[in-house]
Amino acid sequence: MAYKREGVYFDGELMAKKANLSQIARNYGTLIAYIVMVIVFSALAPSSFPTAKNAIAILRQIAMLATISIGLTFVLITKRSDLSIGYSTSLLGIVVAALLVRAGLNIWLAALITVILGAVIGFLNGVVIAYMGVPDFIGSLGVGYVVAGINQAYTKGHPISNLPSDFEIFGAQRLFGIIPNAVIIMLIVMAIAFVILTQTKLGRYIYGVGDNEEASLMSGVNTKKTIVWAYVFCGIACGVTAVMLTSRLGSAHPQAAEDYLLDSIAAVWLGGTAFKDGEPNLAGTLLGALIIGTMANGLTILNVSYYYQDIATGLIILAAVIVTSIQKSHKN
Amino acid sequence: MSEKKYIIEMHGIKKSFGGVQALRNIDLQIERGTCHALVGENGAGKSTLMKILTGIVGKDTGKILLNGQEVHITSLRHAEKLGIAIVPQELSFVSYFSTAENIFYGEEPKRPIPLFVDWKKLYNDCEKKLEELKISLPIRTPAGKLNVSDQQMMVIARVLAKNADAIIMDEPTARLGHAEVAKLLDYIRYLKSCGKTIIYISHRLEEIFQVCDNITVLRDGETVQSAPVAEFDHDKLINIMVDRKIKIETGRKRKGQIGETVLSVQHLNKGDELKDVAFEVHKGEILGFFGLVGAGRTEAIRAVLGVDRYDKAEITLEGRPVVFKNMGQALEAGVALVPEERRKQGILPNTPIFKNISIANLNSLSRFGMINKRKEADYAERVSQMLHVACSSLQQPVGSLSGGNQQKVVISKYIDRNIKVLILDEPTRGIDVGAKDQIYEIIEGLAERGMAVIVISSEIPELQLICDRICVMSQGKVSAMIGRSEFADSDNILRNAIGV
Repeated sequence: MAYKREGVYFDGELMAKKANLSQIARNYGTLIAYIVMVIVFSALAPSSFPTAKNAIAILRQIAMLATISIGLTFVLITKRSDLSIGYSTSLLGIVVAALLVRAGLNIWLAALITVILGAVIGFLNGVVIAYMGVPDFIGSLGVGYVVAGINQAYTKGHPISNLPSDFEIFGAQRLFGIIPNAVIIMLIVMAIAFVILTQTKLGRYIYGVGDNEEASLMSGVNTKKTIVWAYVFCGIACGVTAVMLTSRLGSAHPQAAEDYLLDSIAAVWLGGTAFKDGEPNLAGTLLGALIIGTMANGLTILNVSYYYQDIATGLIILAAVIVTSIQKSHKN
Repeated sequence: MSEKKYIIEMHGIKKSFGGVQALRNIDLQIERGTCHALVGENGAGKSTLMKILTGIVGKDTGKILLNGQEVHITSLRHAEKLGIAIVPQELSFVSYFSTAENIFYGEEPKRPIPLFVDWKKLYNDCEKKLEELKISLPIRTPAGKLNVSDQQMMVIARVLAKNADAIIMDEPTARLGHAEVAKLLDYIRYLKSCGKTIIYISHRLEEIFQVCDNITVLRDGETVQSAPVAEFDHDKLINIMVDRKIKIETGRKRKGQIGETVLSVQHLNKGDELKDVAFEVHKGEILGFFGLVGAGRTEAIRAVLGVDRYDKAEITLEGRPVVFKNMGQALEAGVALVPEERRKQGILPNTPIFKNISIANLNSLSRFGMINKRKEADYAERVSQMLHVACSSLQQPVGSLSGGNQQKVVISKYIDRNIKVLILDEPTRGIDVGAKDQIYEIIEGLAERGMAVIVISSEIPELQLICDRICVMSQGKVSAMIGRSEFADSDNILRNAIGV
């Protein structure tokens, strides 16, 4: 070899990983907190909370939040955000309903067109933000306004109902009468996202852009295209969520999905605190959605009013993020 | 005696981070009114020691005396109150505030109603203060628009305005060209004459011999030697620092042949910045680019690579005319850049080493968009061994490596790709002496294998050591193309760069 020489330093060794208690607490603190939460609810409502039926109910409740949050994870990994997802998903729900009821399309075709339209909205977000240099907050907010406006103009605020009963397959029905189809769809989306993020070039580039955009550019990565792809995946997830949500509700409401924006940001952030020092990651996103869903479920079983549930969720998010940032600053 | 001889004394300082002993036993005594150099390789403990002195991190054991009184410094603000301030390597300021606003940031003169800033007074005070400090700066210009040298003077003015007695300067000349360095050293002499004390951290040993009175050498978290500068010479100092013999020579033996022209640039023009720049680099050749800051070295390279626009140029790669619209196109054609700002543009700091190595090569490591993980791991393993990247595992994030090893990782990205021309901008900036040598050998090895290499550097000895020719730029023009036989005449190189 051309570069053989003696006297190599092993400065890296000093930073080598050490598995001690504080590390475990840092890496799995949020997971441990979740387990504690499950134990507490089980103790307070032993007959209704820790049952297989309730576990499936929680999974069914979070399937849509988890799906949309997985899409948002792509965007948040690139250190950007997407404020349009609530509005987009609401519109896409209207779209799928209109395609079924007013255009009379086959359920599969209607769902496919909806998902593609979701990708188109994501593409628009991406182009505005990556190629036109609009900051992500305002760019996605602008797209969100336009989307919400189209929604209002088309529906005049009225829901679309009388969906064909076979459309229930995407959200309301259960496989073998046990596992909700929505949960299966969520798992499929999760698996696809996992493959993209960990096994493909594109996934690597998405992480690369998030860690250091300029260095990625200097390495020959087409960073703009990568960012557009992240938004496209997010849009696709919105489309899938819209189909599931509309199927589950049995009708499309113009504002059905608006709460998902804040809930999914919360889920991804909570998840980021769980495994990777505050970086968004898929396993974390799923855990984040589980925490939010379990909290709502448990408090409902305990007859706590809806208003207090929001307070509890807010406090949990703050606690998780505060603990993570304290750990981070200690580390530095 | 009201004033002690030593303004700062640190005794038996120890500090460990999570079981790793960063500082084993440090003693440091700084005489009032002197410039005291703190030298040592990366990881020797300089930064940690200065962080303890400025209250950014706490010490485990040891004593700090200020004017003979023991002090417990709790924060940067507290240190500033005690008269100890730091001018960090990475300058921090608000780039859209004016110079004056930055200097008085946090201490703006208030109007009778305390919420409102008295702007007129602020600018008047600033003008007076700068006059008193003998610093000339455009006080109404946004700080972001100042050049690096002026930004540094601004930060120095800011700490002086807070009445700092002891000023720590961490690698203050790392980004400065020759003329600016001379200016800064002059200013340090002036500060000494005013009774201020300077703690000077630098890898550039020439400067230390020019301006410092005492030198303390740290190695592996311990004080190895502390003595007046007269007791050291260049070689001795390096030897104490690294504790092993390093060959210092000019004009090393090079294997390999210089072949045909690979990259040729003619008539490169860009407004006032670049005037008719022309150069060519051959297969197997290392071409140096020297120039003072603002001479247009980086600008010329950026224009060629398509990072910045230019007015006119004839660029050919292996005889074929080329125009690069962006970095990606240049890379695709086989022209790569190892950028100057390693942390900002070179590495993915939180990403594992092997992913940093592979990111520029994923096209050849994947099929249908899916990465072949085994191929990737083998590739990263092979390249990292070839470049002797010192790490405990390739899973380690690159940000945890020393500067020299980070640089190796950046270079490794381009080693196996079909790269014809590799451009390195200040490849050894902020890298300690021992690791510099390794980087030189890597660069030479790449040339030997037939790459055309361009090295941009502000250090003449570095270029003399590894280059075949040196292209000297001055005020946007190529002022001289100097061959190896004329290298010995450093003055000639500098004269051409200054443009006299």
